[in-house]
Amino acid sequence: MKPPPFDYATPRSVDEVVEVLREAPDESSLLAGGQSLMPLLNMRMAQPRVVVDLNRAEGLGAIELTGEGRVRIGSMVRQRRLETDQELRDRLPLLTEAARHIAHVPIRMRGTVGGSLAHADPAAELPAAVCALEGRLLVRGTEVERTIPAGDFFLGALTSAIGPGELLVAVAIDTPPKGTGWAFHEVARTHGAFALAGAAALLHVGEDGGIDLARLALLGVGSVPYVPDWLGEMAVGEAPDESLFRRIGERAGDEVAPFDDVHASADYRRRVAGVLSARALAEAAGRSNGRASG
Amino acid sequence: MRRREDAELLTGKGRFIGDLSRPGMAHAVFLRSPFPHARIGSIDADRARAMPGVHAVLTGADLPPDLGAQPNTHLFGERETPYYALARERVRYAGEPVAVIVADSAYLAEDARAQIVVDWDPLPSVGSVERALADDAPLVYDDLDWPDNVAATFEQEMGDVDRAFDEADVVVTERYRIQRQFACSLETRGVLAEWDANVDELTLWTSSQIVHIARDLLAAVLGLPEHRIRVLVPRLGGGFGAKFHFYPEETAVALAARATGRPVRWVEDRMESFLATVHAREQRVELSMAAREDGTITAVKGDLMGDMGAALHTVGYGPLWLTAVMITNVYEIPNARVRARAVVTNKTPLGSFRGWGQPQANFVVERTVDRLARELGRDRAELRRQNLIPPERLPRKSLHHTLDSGDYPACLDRAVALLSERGWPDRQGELRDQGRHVGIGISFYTENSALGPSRMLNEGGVQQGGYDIARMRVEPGGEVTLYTGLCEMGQGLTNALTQVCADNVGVHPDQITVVTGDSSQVPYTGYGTGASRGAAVGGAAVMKASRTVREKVLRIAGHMLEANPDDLEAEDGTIFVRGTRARSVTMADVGRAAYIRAIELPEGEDPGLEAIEAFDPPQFAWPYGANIAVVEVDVETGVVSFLDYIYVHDCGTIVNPTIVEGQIQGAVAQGIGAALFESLPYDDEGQPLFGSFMEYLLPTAAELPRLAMEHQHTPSPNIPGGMKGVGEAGTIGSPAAVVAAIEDALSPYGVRINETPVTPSAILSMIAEREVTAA
Amino acid sequence: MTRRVSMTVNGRPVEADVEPRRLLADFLREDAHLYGTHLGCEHGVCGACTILLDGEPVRSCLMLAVQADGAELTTVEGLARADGLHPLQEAFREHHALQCGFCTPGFLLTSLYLIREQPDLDDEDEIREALSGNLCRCTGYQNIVDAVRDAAGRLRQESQTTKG
Repeated sequence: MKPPPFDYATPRSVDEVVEVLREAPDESSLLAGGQSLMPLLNMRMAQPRVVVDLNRAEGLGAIELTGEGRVRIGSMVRQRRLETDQELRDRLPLLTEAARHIAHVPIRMRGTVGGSLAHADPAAELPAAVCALEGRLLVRGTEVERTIPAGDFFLGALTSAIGPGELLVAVAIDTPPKGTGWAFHEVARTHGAFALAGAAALLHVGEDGGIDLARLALLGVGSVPYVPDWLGEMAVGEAPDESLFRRIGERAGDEVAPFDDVHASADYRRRVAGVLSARALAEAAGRSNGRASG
Repeated sequence: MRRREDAELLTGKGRFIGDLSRPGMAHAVFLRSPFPHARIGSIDADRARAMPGVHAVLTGADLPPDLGAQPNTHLFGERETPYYALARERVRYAGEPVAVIVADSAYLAEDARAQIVVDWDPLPSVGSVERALADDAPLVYDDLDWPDNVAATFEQEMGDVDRAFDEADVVVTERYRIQRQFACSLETRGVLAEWDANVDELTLWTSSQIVHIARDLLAAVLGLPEHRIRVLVPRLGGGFGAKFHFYPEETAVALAARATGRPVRWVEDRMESFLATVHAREQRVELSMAAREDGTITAVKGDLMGDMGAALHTVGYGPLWLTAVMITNVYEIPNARVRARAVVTNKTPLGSFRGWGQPQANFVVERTVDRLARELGRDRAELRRQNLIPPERLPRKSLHHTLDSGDYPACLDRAVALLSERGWPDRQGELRDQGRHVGIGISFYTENSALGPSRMLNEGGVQQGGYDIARMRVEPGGEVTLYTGLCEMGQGLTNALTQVCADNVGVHPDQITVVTGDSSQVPYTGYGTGASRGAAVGGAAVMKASRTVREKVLRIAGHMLEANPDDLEAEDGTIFVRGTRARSVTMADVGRAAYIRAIELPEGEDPGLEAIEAFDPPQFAWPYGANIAVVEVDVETGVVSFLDYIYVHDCGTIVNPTIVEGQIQGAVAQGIGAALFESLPYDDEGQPLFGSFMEYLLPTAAELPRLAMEHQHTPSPNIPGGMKGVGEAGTIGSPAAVVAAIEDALSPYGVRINETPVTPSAILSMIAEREVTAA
Repeated sequence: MTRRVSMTVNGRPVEADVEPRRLLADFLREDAHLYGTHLGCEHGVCGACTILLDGEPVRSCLMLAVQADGAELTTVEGLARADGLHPLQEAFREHHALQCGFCTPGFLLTSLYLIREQPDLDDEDEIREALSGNLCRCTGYQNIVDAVRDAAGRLRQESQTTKG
């Protein structure tokens, strides 16, 4: 289990990264945290001609908080920072909670936000969390920088909208309205193993006691995160009660198209996705309007 | 308790096989079959051989023509399943070694491997016992003209089983499926071979539990005299039985060293370990139990099928045989019949893993006793208690063995009492009232330890002894060197032997050095390090040798002190007249007399201070115990979590309680792995559906319970010192207890769980099936 | 093809020419001859190869040696103090938290970071969760959990003594 030979590039800036990519767009692998790429190299399941190491490129590692409640997270921000950065935790506790479910501390110490998003593993936590948060992904190519909504970013298992020669630079997320509750639930067979299914939820209960914002994204239940587009219609204006969340969960479970593997059947994933949806929404409701401290 | 090796291991100074190197050493990797069954056409390795840094590529065609097949030492009357260091003409399982590539680094060897082109001719294959036994099944050994895929059928009976079933008030029958697992030590296997062409001698460092057996088997395969091979075992990163085997890679790396004229090292990588290291456990069992209305179990019969994989490995179908003969467990069941079929399939060969066949036997018997309790409306512990062999009727012959000693009911009673002391049946009720699904599961086990009487092994067909030989020497300076053929693999064996030696010679443990893992230095041991025999058989041999030396020490000291040796005592290296420490000599004084100043020896006493003693146990020993698991099941997600775990047992005399507890904690963790997580599934054709730790899940700290443990002590009547052995015990009863607890937690749904591992997915589908049935 | 890398390992400078593909773990073991960093899976699951990179625990099987150029590394060989074992090592020894010792270096370094980050660490479930990225096949973890909790306590006491 030793990597195959490759050329190794250490660009110092985003421009240099793009330059290197332009030379060999199809034969390059971007090395971010390496927690997915390195196992693939060790197994020789990935055999790139060039490994482009992003770890020495300036300008990808910052978390920026802007005045209007916008958060910009550089693609090389380590997953561990989502847990330890106090300001980020205050603004986007859903992201913190999702990060805590990623594997283990030593993996999160290296693993990056951008690496996880670009890798687009259907069982991964951050893609679902960023979908629930309606993040926008900033992608740089040779000529242009473009912004892709999270909902359009994940195209299939291990396939994203990042084109050849492009680089994910950052993800931008608007802080949800004050008092929005959040929750992240997942089931894995052992602690830190790949999720069998999971749910990220945001929910806000208005002053009239009715739901005025509800978002949900599911992981492990198909080739891309599942985001129910019918959720607003079903939830907004309703009272946040268990039976509503249960109905939402059942409908979500009916609509996802998961797969069988050695760990669980598709049917299991479907059912559990529904259960976790209901649980996450209920917990998010409980946290809404500061009813419980996050 | 401070273990001798801990300081070294805690500071990173322990040297495992992958840490060893020799001048000029090259690295080997293996090309393995991607097919479950195929003829090998041509192998084109020219490009690989021509690559810079590559020293050799050997294939089956390059093996010496007179090379022997890899031997099986457990001959129970079975068809031969020959396999070689590298496959010749045909492969029978995915992962079978086909070529060995030797290069300057593992990196380069892997590069070269990718350049080898094999012309494969895939053949029909079987991936399960069910498929292998079908009428039109492809044959694993069609080239050897086998009529079917059954390598052996073993049958044994006692009493009148048919009559007992005819006369029974209640009969229960269940079918069980026990999955494939494997030992999966954190350190994979490895071999380093160095061939001295000048004298035609081979030195082989190998991660093995069987120093001399590995040497002898390698000598037989290579056609060399045994003394031309020296086998060395460095630190082992766990063994658990899988390193009890003699593997094709040990032969192949030795041949690669001879071919290249260089030392060659191979360290198994994790991915290949899932296919290249023996698997274990997989069985299908149908078990029937007959009982009277009052709960007395009168008969048991079992039909067992072992999925042996593509060949009978070093221990043949031994584990399946052991499952079969332990089918009455600890119960006073007068009538029993078993049939066990060893079935070959196109999968990795089955072999040893802590517990051998005993976890399977325990699982099917204990689960069936639970079924009987349900059928009779009886409390599960109470029904067990009624059928346990009472202490006054021990020793008692079961189907094959003679259970030796102990008080089974007292052990079970204590476990049940501990359960209530910890508040359990009540708390279960309260939690259930809150709508939570909490279950309690009980099992009772015995373990075949202290293997074993050589005569019994040989009569049964085992081509190994069961004795152990210990050599101990007091050096001229008074320090003690103890030589054992048993291996330290983390289980603390050397500490236990040190303690036995210290107590019996009368020196401080720090004065003792234990030499292990060198066939040129250590005495022969009959069976290698396995079968929970280290402390019992090895300990008894050390005790005998230590006492022999001590007698001589006392004779010499008596002469020096002008005292009667019977009046002397030895402690921490000082020999003194009982009652007056003023008159004393040290072990160094005695050592000096024995080797250097023979003038101080008593008349007629030979110089030297050394003894070599063998111990061959007259009988096996039978430790036993109760497991009680308390679990909660989330019935919406199928996730199981532990609320408590009770373990009460008796392993005879305990040399070192800390080590015993550590052994049990680790073994129970493996049993829980078996119950909930670990599985090596194949498709119908024998393609593995696993390949890494992504699929093969070991339990982590977050899944496992804290054990509440108590010891009882019934010394073995057959082992000097009374030790019974404990290494495997924890694996045996734990799967049954855990699964019973889950079933109990799910009692509102009435599910029956006869298959492991019990995954969340399996739990939800069982619940769903019952809900459909109910509706 | 090769690149010069230099780093500080356990306080000592280490330099070598390596291929870019060389794993950091192999660099530590074969080039720096620090064999205490063990390879148990080479795909980041078992944790035996965990080391500290600039004070933070990482899998050395999932990094290239060239990536550690200029970094400060701590391996198990760098843990003991001049006057004996580190309190964490002592605690492992006293609680019989190791059997074969193969996974032990990874547990030690993961735990060292853990008790530095959370000096008040005491809760069993929290410790179990924090250790869940390291696999042990021998112990069933119970004694490791006890050792880590005990070590956290010892270090708390140590720092109080220093302050006092």
